[in-house]
Amino acid sequence: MNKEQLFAVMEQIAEEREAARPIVRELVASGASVDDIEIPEGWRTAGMVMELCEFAYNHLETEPTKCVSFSLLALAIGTGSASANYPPPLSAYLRGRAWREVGVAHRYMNDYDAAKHALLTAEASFRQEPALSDEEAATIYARAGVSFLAVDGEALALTEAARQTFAEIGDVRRQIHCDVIHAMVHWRRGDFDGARIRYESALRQLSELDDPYTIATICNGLGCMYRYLGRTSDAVTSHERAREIFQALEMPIEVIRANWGLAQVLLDSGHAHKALSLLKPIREYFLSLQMPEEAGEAGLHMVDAFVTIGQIESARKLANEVLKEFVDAKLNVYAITALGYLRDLLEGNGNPRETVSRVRSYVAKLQLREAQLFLPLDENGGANEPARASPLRPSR
Amino acid sequence: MSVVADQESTALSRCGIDFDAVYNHNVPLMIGVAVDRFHVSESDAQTLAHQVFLAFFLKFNDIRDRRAWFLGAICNACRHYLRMRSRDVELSSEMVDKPDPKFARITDSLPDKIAAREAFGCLTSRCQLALRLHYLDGYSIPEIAAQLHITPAYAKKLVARCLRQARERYGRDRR
Repeated sequence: MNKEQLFAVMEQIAEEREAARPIVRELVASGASVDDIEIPEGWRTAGMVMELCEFAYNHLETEPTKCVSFSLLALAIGTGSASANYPPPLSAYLRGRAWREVGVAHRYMNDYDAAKHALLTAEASFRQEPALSDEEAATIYARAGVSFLAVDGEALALTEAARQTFAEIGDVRRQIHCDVIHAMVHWRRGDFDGARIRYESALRQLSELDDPYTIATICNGLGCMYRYLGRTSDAVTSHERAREIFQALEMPIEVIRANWGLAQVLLDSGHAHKALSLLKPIREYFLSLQMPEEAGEAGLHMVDAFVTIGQIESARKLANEVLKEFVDAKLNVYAITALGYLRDLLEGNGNPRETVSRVRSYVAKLQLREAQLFLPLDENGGANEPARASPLRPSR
Repeated sequence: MSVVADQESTALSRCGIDFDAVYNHNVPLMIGVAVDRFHVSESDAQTLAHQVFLAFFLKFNDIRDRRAWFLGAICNACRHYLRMRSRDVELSSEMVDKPDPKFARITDSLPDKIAAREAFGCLTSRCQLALRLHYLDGYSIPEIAAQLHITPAYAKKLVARCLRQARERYGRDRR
């Protein structure tokens, strides 16, 4: 391929993207499902795949279910015969890009196995082409974000691999993103001070770069660390800063996560009524996005708040609701067992506060670890909560 | 030579970046690095540099330090290329005249491949995906269900329905 041919391909793709943009806009505006549609001939272009992927990437915070549908449509087109007509590395890029968006969208929907599988397929696709090494690294980084939730050692190895490539291409910003994953692993291991040090260091480095999204994500994580370390006022400041940035970025789901952090600070510092007023809309928001795990977890925080203020009947009712949601969504059987235990406990007498906290912590940990039995009498089981941080979506 | 500057308001020029200038600034540098540092032949170096440039074009908005990105990307591309080349084995002299076994059944397999491609092209988006995942990529029914966010029972029905759809539509188009 000579220069003229190269520029002709670029021109063609730029035209395809221009043509695809209004089509995607119209698809979004119509609100109709794109799950099983006829694909017109004119849509079978690289530009269409890229525009669908752009939509999926940019709307994760507001419409994760739609993002899954749009990225799957991109995948159907990107893996179709038309993609084979483009010169390398385009065909591999389209497949990889579509699979990556599918994976990231799955991760937002708490579907970790499907996310990992999709991201691995994306990596394999990028690996075929020598020119796509940084796309491969970006995907490895995204997988590290998912693996962080399962095997932290794997997450560290993956971020190291990605960091090396980012260093080679002089991408400081994404190297810092890898540091954030490291901080999250420390968090998960219960080393809150270690996590705090890494978060603070990343925040200092980011002050010279224009990356408000990552700054806000770090602030949210830092807020949680300060809370665990008993620095309540720092925790509130951090969460509020995160919320402010996310509001400016118009990322509602992240604003909700920052509010969630604030609610937990309030709950831990004994302001259960105020915590409840924040938690209710958080839970409703996650339910409206069909994100049952987050909704359930927020529900358990509400149960905790109800128990704190002595409204045991409301706590029992809500625990029942959360249990039903978990069963309906076919979520982890161990979580369901733990919630069943909690419901039974709330039916009886006694002081359930410690158990509520233990069950809440256990359910949250289940998303991060391999399945483990719920042991109600485990003295260590109710300790620190694991990371329920922003997914830290992969930067491209 | 200027490829873009001569044309008025092309889709490429509307991207808001002078790709021609970026090309002239970075592609010769990348070719030089590939040839001098990695001892890649000039023609292969140009191919690699053009592929890297195409990769740049796909995400130019996200790249902050272009020069560092191009240098890192060409170095990685060269390493990948050399790794691939190191696995090449020279054919023995008696093998040179023998046909590639991959093409032994080409007269049988090629029409099948074309037919499969055409059949996939007739299907709805979800059917294309379900059949591709199942029959070409080897996904099990539960794996398809997970990727499509549906239940395994529905995934099973979906694959069967899509097979029917392929038969009907491909057959109809052929008549």
